[in-house]
Amino acid sequence: MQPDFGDFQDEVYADRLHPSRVACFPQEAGILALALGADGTIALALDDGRIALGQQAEPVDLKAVEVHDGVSQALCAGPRGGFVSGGDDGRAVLIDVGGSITELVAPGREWVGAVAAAPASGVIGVACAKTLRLFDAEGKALGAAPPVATTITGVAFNPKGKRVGVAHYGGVTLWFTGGLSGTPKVLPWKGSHVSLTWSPDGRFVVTGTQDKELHGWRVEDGIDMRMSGYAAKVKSFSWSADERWLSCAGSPYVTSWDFIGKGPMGRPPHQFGGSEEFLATHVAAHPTLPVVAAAFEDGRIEMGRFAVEGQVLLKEVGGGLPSGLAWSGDGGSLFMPTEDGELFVVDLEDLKVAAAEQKKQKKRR
Amino acid sequence: MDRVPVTVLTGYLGAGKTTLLNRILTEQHGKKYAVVVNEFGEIGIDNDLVVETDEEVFEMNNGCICCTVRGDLIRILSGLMRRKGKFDAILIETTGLADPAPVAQTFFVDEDVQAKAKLDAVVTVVDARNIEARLDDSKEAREQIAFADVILLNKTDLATGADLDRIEARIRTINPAAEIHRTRNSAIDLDKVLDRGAFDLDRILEFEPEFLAAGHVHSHNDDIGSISLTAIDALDENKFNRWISHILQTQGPDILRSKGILSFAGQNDQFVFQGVHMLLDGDYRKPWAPDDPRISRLVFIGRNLDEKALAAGFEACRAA
Repeated sequence: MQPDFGDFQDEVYADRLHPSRVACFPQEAGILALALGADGTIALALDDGRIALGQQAEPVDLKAVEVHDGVSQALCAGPRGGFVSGGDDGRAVLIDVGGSITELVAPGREWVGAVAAAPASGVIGVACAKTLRLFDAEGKALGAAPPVATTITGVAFNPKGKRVGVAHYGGVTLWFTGGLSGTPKVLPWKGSHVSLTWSPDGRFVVTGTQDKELHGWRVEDGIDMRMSGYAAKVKSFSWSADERWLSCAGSPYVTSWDFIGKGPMGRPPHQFGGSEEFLATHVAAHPTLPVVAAAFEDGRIEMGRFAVEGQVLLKEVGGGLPSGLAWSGDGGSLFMPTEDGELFVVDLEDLKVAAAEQKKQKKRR
Repeated sequence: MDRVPVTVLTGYLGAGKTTLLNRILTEQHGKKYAVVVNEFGEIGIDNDLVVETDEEVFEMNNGCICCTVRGDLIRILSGLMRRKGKFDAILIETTGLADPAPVAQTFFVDEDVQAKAKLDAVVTVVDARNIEARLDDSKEAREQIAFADVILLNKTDLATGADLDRIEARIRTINPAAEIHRTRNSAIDLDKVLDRGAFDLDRILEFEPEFLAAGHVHSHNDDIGSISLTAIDALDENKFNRWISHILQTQGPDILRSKGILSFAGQNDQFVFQGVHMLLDGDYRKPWAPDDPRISRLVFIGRNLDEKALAAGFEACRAA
């Protein structure tokens, strides 16, 4: 059942500028990636190799810590606080908001191409070229999987954090986190897979491919799903709070595939997007409400609702090329960093109120 | 933002690639380079930023059978570009046995690479002492010559003038469009190997006279050769497009490179194109000079080229 938004619905889904407040917080260098901690912290990977750390509520004068001789190539929030970053210096670290570093992998020749964390089990996954290494939430090594045939391009955990998958040329390989030496499950599909996501209901894994398509597998039986129509490689995905929709960047429209029941095959995706010229670079589904926001190449941010026509503009054109997009935990703020070093924060008081209201109603029920 | 130029160095092991690479790196030019290598050889590389990568040749699932790309380069070039202002250019040293086509095609096919980097030229270093034997016994050696924009005929101190003339003539039969330089110890003015813009449509307009030569040259014991075609009459744009698409669709795997400058009927600007296998890049460029004859010319470098059929097909593209 869709939550009832009342008046809020009409206001948000008209095709016009939403009365949101956009603030810009310039940083010391270009921003390559952003991660938000569940505890209200924020980390930015800077293009000079540093990681800037601070609080989401006041993202100014962030503490920039030297981490990589090179730059971060992958950044995510840690499973129990802090952040995980892997770089092209081969180094992977767990870093807390105060800047203290626990080294997971020492610098070396092999680039760290992907990192992921599983809050449910407290496990961290780090892909060093062809090898997946797992660590616990404190950074203690849990083991390494046998190398796969080609470089790992994505790491994702299942919702319980008990299984982990890696994307590589020719498909995806899945292990149990407690059984890296056991026989993995291989989900094959010819071609180069460049990104990976695992559905929050645990039933599907989906990759973006070099051929500008999505490829999905039902984990249970390995059934293939192919979703095409993209103008670029899909490197940003986001699952809706109700676990039903997978939204994707990579085209001028935000596409959201309906994974209810058997999956998206045979059903066209829901789409929105206000320009035919500029591609969506990042998508972020709201943490509780059935809406998804997207950042576009021209600096716009739009928001749409699943299965409802139209969109609303949250941020107008301008600023550098977006390098990330994420919602605060309360669903009231949206963070968009850019390659030019701007951190845009959109405050959406009405969404925050709606999200809080929904939480209350859920509790009452 | 300016796209970062990428120079690809190919050539057999021992030909002098790493020596050339180190010359580029150590010369006083005030430029910073990122170097990508597929294997660390015996000679060290004199640079701070050296990335070693495994060759990962991928086939694209786009229905184009010859469209292979280098997955490792896509990843590494995209990754390197995240380091803002850390270097001015990228040098890729391939292994002696590498096929240059997937390297070049990577720059046509991947949008992330295309957005931030551009292929400047394929530079092939050959050893004058043994290049003839390599051309006889190695498909890779022939392809590296066929693909080159710039060829360094190296170790000239170890061959006679007659040898060098014979070798150069044989190289020309494979690749009439490349610039050939005779070198010792890979010593060469860097502006002859860097910033060539060999894949830049504007630069193709400055083609050397060899390219203008009508007719074709065949190498006798070789499967790779080249065909140059010219036409004095203006061409019909639609006819030509149909013909070239057909040729590349059917013979793409055999056509390693193609380049052309064309005069289309009713157009005042020169149409320039260049391609690698089936992938083609073409556009209108500057106008024809008022006094110059508007001669269309194109060259194919590849295997098993049927000169008669190509010439007839090209001929049929004349505007009525």
